[in-house]
Amino acid sequence: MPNPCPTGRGALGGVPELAGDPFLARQPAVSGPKIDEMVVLMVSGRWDWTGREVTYNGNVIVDGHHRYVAARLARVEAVMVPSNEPVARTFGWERLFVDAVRWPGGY
Amino acid sequence: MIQIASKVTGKTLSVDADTLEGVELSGANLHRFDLHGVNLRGAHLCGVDARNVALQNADLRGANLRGACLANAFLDGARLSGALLDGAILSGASFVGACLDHASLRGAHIRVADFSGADLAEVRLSGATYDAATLWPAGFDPAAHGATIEE
Repeated sequence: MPNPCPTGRGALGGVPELAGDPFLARQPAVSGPKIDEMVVLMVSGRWDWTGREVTYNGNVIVDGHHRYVAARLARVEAVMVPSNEPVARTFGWERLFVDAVRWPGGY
Repeated sequence: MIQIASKVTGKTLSVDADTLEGVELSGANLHRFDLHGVNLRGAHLCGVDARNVALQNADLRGANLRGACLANAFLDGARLSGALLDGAILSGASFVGACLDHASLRGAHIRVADFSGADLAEVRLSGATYDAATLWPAGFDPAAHGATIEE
């Protein structure tokens, strides 16, 4: 069983599944409860990547930060597609803030 | 008719109006939409899902953003004078150089946000919570405006 997402515990630097990860985030925060929900779906085999691919430009996640982190925590392979969308700023996982609040929207 | 599009999903939102000033978009999904520089003065944006939205240099003076989710939103240089952001989620939002004078952020959830260089004159923060990683303008004391720090 993977480690649960450290909801509301700040950065993801101490999460072993993300140690040495080659990708960077382009946003400073994620919602812990959303990641938790995705991890449950992925671990139980009820996750469908159709239309939910993670997009990246180089070594930066462009869209799908929650899905990417959840996949790492669930130890499943994320479906990833390249993107040309420009990246203005990047954040290592050790800096990414995990918000305790459940943000709106689906997956 | 105005159409705006999401940068990532390509989804479009059609607005039956000649301008977005005062537009009624409460509850709309604006996730990753590109609205930089757009005139949204006095717009009704209650409860919008505006995660990662691009609103740099937008005119949001007097806009109603109560309960909106602006997580990771870009509002650098935006004009938000007198805007209502009560109860908004502002985690990861960037307000660098934005004008928030007389805005209301009561009960807002503020984490790792960046208000560097922003004008926060007469801003109302009672009931708002923020963390130590949030950046405020030089000399600004959020506690004196009613906000509470949470770890």
